[in-house]
Amino acid sequence: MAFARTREARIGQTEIGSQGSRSIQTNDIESSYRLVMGASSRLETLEGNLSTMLDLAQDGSKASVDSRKTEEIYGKLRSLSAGFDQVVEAIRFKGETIFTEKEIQLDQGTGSRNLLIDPVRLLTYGENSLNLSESIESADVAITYRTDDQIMNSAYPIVGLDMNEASYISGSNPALELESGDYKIAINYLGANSTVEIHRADGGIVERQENVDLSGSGSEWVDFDVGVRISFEKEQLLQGTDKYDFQTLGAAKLSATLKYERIEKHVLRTTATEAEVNSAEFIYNSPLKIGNSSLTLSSPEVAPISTGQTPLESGNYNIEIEYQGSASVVRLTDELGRLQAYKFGIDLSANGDQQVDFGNGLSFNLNNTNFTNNGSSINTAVKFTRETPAIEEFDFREYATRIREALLVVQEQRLVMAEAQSRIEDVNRLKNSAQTSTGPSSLSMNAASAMSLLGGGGGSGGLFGAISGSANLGVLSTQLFQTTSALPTQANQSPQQLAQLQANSNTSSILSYST
Amino acid sequence: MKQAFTAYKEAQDSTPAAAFERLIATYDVAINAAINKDRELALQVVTMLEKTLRADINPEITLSLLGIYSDCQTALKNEEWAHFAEMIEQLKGLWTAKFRLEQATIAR
Repeated sequence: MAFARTREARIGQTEIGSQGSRSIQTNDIESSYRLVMGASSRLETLEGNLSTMLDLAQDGSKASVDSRKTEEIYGKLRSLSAGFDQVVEAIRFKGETIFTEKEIQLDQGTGSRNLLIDPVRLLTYGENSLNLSESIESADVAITYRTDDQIMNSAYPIVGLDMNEASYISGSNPALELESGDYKIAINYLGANSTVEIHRADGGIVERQENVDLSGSGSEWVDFDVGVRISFEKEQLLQGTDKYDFQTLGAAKLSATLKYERIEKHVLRTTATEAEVNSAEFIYNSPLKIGNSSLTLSSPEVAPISTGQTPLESGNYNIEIEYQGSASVVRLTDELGRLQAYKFGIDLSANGDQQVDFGNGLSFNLNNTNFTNNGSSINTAVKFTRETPAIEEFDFREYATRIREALLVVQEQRLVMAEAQSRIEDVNRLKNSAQTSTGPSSLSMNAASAMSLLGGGGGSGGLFGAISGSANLGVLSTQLFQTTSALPTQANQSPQQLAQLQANSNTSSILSYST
Repeated sequence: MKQAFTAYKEAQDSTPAAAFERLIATYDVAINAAINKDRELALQVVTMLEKTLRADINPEITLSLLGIYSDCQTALKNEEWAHFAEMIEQLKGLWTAKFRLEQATIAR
C-alpha cells in the first residue's frame, strides 16, 4: 500500500504492552559487536537517504512557481520519507526494532559492565521523532463484487441502481470501528423504504440503516455509525416501474463485498497546526417557533459532492430558509454575503425531517412540526471545514530545515554507535591480551587503561550509564567464589607500600582484622 | 646473620597469608581514613589498590574491582563517607571469606 501503514488498534487507542516498552539485551560480546556494526551500516544508509531528501527539498524551494514540478518533488519526498521509516523499522535485533526509543544493553562478557545505549526514535512520524511526516489514522474502504455477489444480484432484474463508492468517515465513533477484513453489504430494495446492512463474514449483523430512499434519480449516501459511508447512484429509467417492481415481486436482495482496512496515512506537512478534518457545525442555531408549530435545523454534515459542483471551501457560512410551503427557498451565503448555493422550489410543507443537500459538500436536516406560516424565514450560521491537501500548504524551505536537523540526529547516532564499537573492541583486546600473556603485559597491568573503558563510574555521567555499585559487588562475589586463585589478583601490596600508607594514617584501625 | 634474617623475612612476606594480611591492612587504612574523613588518604589507598591489580591473573575480577573502585572514588568525591566505608568493608569481608575458604580447603 503506497503511503500508508496498516494499524492494529482502533482509532485513538493506545497499544498496551507495545514493543516500544521493551529493552534490547545482547547475550555476549560477539552479538553486541554484531548489533553495533549492523546498526552503524544502516545509519549510513539513512544518512544517505536524508541527504537525497535535502537535495530534493532545496530543489522544491527553487521550483515553487512550477506547480507540476513541486508536485513531482513532493511525491518523491513523500516516497523517500516512507522508505526511511521502512529502513528504520527493518533495523532489528532478534525481531525488536532498535531505533524506536528502546534501551539497548550491550553485554561485554562476564565480569564486565553492560554498555547502555539509549537510542533516539528515528521514525519520521510520531512523538519524539524526526518530525518529517505525520501519521493520520484512517481506513481504506472499497466495494467489490465477488462471484457470490454476482450470482445473488443476477437473480433480480433491477435497473438504474449502482453502489459506486464506499469511504471512511473521519471523526466517527472510534469504539465502533470495524476490524480490518471483509464484510458483506446486504441491500433490501423496497424503493424509498429500503434497508442497507453491514454483515460480518460469519453472517452476524454489524449495523442496519432503515428507510434509505433508493427510489428516483440522483445521489444517495448512507452513513453508518461504524465510520463507513456508502454512496449510491440512482437513475429512474422507466416511467412505469422505478428500477424494480418490488410491489409485485417482493423485495430485491442485493449483495456486495466491503473491504475495510485500518491504516495510517503517511503525510508530509510543514504547518504547525494539526491536519484539518472534514466537519460541519452550527455556530448559532435557534428554531423558529410560532405557537406549537416549529421549524428546526439540525445535523449539518459534510456530504459527497454532486457531479459538476464546485466543492465548498472551509469557512463560516449563513443558511437562510424562506418558508413558502411546497415552494420554499434555501440560500447559502458566505461571510461577505455572497451567494454560494441556492435551492428553490423545495417542498418543506410535510411534517417530520427532510434533508437539504446543496450538492457542494454541505447538507443539513430540517424538521417541520406543524409549521404552515408562509413568508417566515430562519437564519443559521454554520462553520464548514474541508480537509485541504497537504501539498497546498507545503513549505519546502521549512522542510529542508527539518531535514538538516534530522541529519544531525542521525550523525549523532552514528557517533554513539562508533563509540560503542571502539569500547567493545578495547574490552575484547584487554581480555585477550590478559588471557594469552604468560606474564603481566603492560596493557593488562595498566589498570588506568582498563579504567578508561569503563567510564562513567557508578551509573551516572558519561555516554553510557553503568550498573550500580551494589550490583558490582554482587558480580564480584560470584566471580570470587567461582575462581580458585582469586587472591593474587588483588593481594599484591608490598610491605613498603603498606608501611607508607600506615604512616600516613593518623589513627590506628579500630576495625582491624584479627585472625 | 643479618642477611639470613632478611631472606627469611622476604620469604615470609611472600606467603599468601602475609599478602592477605597486607590487603586487609590496606582496607583498614581506607576505612580509618573514611572514619577520619581523610579524603586524601582514602584516595591514596584506592589508587594503590587499583595499581596493584593484576589483570593477567583474572581479567573479569579485575574489571569488577575497577568498577567498584571507580564507585569508591565517586563516593569520595561526593563526600559520601558511609557509602565509601561500606563498600570497602564489603570488599574486606568478601576477601576474608574467600581466604578462609581457601585455607579450609588446603587444610582438608
